[in-house]
Amino acid sequence: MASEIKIFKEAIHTHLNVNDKAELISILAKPLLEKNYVTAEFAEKVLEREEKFPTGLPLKKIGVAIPHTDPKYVLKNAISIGVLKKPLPFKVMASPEQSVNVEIIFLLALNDSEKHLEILQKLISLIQNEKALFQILNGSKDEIFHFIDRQLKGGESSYD
Amino acid sequence: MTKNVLFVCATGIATSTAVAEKVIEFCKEYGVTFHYKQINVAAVPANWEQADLIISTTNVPYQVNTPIVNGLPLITGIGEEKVLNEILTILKEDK
Repeated sequence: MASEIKIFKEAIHTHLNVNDKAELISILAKPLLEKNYVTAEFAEKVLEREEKFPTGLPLKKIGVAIPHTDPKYVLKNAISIGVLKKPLPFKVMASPEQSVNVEIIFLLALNDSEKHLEILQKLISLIQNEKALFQILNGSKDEIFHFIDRQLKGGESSYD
Repeated sequence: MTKNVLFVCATGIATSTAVAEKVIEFCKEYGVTFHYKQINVAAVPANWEQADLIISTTNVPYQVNTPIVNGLPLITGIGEEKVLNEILTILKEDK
């Protein structure tokens, strides 16, 4: 069950320097497309969806966004992660009149609500854990990969 | 009477899944159960009339006569207790 979402090293980008969301989403979606986890329209559809239904999350210290789109553009569950060099404004989920400066992006490719529930819950508790977010913000690609893999797949709740 | 809750998000599969799970678990602790449906925001017009409560993580751009609670605090964790208690109060009210 827990292994039904894929995280791979190629889909983790640190020190990303992007000018806008289009550039960001296209960089994050590329490895998912190359490995056949999403359809060719995925990036464009994520962007469209983000404009209409934003996913910026105003947390206490670090802004996070969880862009995603309709499951029909997803072939297999996967997550792509981006850590930005300089924050990018996203509109806030459920309050599109507000915006939040986002530093960490979890691009979600999800195609089935039954199977990804457990991972989603773990991802949400990770987002709510400031210490975990700082670890992602300051980690190398390898560190982030092992950290996320452990957090999302393992049963442990410790972030040390 | 068991109440009907709609969990709404933009896709009907991502944040609404996480929010539904949290609300179900929380209410269970207080012995409150309910029927629920998870839908995307575009399905709200066809479903709101049967619902007693809508919990949404996205803006609902429709006129509805069902109370709507913003589920975002259940994702960010900020103000989570308050929203869960607000939901519990609505679900415990007599129909």
